[in-house]
Amino acid sequence: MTANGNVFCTHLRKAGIYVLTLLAWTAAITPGASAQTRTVASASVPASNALHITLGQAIVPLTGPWKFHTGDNPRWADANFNDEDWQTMDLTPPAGSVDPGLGTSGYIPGWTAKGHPEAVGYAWYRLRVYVSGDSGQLALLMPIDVDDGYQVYCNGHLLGAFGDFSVQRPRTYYGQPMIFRLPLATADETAAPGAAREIVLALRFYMKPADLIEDPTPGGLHGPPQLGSAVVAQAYYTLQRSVLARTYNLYSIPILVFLLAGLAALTLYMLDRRDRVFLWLGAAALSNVLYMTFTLSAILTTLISDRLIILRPLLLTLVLWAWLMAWYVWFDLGQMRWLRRLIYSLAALQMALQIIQAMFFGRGMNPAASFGPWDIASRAVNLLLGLVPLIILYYGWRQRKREGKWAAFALILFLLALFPRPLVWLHIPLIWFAFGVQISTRLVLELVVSLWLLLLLILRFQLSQQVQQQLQNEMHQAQQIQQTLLPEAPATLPGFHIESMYRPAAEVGGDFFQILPSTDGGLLVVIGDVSGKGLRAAMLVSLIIGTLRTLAEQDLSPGKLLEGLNRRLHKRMEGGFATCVCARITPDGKMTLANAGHLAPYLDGVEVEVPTDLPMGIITGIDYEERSYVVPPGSRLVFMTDGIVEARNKNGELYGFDRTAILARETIAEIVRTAQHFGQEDDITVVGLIREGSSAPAHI
Amino acid sequence: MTMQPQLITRVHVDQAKAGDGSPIGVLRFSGDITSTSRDVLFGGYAEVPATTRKLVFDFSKVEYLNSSGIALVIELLMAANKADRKVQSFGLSPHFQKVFIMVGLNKYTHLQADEATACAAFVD
Repeated sequence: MTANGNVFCTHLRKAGIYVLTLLAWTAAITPGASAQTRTVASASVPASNALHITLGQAIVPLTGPWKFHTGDNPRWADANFNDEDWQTMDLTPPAGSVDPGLGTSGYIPGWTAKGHPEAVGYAWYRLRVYVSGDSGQLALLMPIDVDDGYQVYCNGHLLGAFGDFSVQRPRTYYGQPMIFRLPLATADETAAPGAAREIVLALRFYMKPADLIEDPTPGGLHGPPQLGSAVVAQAYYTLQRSVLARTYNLYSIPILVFLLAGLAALTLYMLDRRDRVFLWLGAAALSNVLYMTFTLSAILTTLISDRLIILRPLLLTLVLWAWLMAWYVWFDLGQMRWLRRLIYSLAALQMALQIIQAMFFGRGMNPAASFGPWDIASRAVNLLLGLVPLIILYYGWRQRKREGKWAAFALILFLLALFPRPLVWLHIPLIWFAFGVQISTRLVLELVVSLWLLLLLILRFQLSQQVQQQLQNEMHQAQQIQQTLLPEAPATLPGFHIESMYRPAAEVGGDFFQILPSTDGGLLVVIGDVSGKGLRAAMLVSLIIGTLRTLAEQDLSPGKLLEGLNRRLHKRMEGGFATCVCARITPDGKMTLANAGHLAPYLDGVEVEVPTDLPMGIITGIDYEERSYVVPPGSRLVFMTDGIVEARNKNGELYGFDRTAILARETIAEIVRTAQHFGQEDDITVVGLIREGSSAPAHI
Repeated sequence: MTMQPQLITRVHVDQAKAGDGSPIGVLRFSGDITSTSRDVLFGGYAEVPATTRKLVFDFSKVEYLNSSGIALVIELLMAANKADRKVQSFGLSPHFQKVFIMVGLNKYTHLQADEATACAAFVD
């Protein structure tokens, strides 16, 4: 079974086939086998279109002449069927023939190169063999490179199959070594010692249509089956299996390194969720693990048939998408939204095209679909996806030259590992041997990329830690600035008892408040909140408090004070705003309020109805309406920020205005504690003020 | 402290007709509206043809609006106001209706009970 439009798997499979083909031909040219070939030449046998072999303790390649016919008929398995008018097919590699995938010699083109260019589905090979010599049990060793599945008949009896032929359209798998023991009854047919025994082999092949576009010369056998002593065949079979396992076991190294890198990246992301590069690198590495494991499972086992193989191009698109996003984030190209949209669109389009082909057009099974517009579209999208890394590389290099060179190296290696064709153009072999072990260039690239990825992760984490430490220092300084600007509590002014609590959220928030004495012996109470958080919010709070203190010296009314603040904040808020409520309270309890979009205060647990207007910093020229009230002696005013009403519990439920109104009757410590317990999401500031006097006692 | 996972902001733009047959751009917001929602909100706003003078903001699928989200809605309303567009809103929970009134947004958008009322509220 040929890789479904994927270079990686084709090369992996062919790499294994190459080694196994060498083994097969080595077996065929052993001294014993040569001697037997000579014996064959001198044998006297009845049929002209038959192969004559003499077996010792060896196996012999059955190069032919085979008889071949496309189509399907159960009678063709019969030993007595007359196949004389069938096409004769020689399975000796033509001189100078090379594997189109690897460029290695000894390749036998399939039936599409032998007069049946459009033949897909079923076809039969038949061979009449006369065996002389040793009469032990025989076995047939089938080549690994076949298209795609087959059943083996010996003298009309089914010996076994490679692939599942119990369904109308057989399930096929990647080629694997297969051995079929010929029944002892066949060996016992010997009439007399030394006489040739007749064996009629019939191979029923099934090739799926997609092979026509995935291999230049597909169709049936790409190597000769081998017949010989079951003991020797079994030994070769075991050797083939072990070579296959040894060859592909090397791939477990990059898989393990990718797994390690992926888990490390996700762990780093859990530790620092601000740097999304860890998330994407983790996703890319783990999707690579999934893809490589899937591919190896398809090659080494029969767990994944051609029905499931459609998942592989989908997985490959997933891998490509995750890697492209990882590099996009790594190179800090966030401002190039068109590039991100391009990556998402192409990946989604490619997946959709693959699913459509698989589900509705039987991609791989229907020849029309294999060549149809959907397939062409899919290949075009794939080409575009292959170009995106170059765009990322170009802009990424310009954006971050210093770090870029490290990532660029990994990106180039990754591209070569995924699309190794340029290496062939540069005459760099894709398969070579070191210390007797077959090495794939792709394997080396995968290994280097995975190790490089680990190195990049370490470098990135170190850099991230440095930046984070720097930010923490800045935040700490901002918090200190904010703390020094906020008044210390409790404060006492003649005639008033004041208490305040400020509980910042995790970050530096934007809450602020001031309680300033007036020249008339009264108080100016200002409380507010800057939208946003962090250093920017802290700096805006500094600006507001500085301006506020300057304006407060002019004894302005609350409305005028808010107007002045708004004027100074306009165009300095970068899209944000500041809410603020301002109250001036005279010693005789007269209170004037103005509100710029802030939560109204509560007087003895009742929300004060105060006209409100837009928060500050959005537009200029707002006349903040003022309204006057009386705060009776003994009454209690509570000002707060939205950290109370917008506290949220685990279910996402807001604390809300109704509960806040009830809570406003409690002490400020209780108000703060309740909101925090409910689920603090923002800074919490509460200012409580009691006008001293002879009315009913109030508590703060 | 219990921080809620943030839902992705989405804006779907629909078209409706006012009583006089003029087009209404309906911006259907969903998810959480926070500081990270700017691109989505303004992207949706930009999708409405410049010739459409009437807008309806549908908040019925908005889960949460924090102060930065309110800032974005204000900015959006200011942009509409500057472009001489009329905006009706519906679908806000009582809590956020109060927040809208608290920050004075009711001067820039009328809060309506439902979409039909919002569309019918445009009077030229």
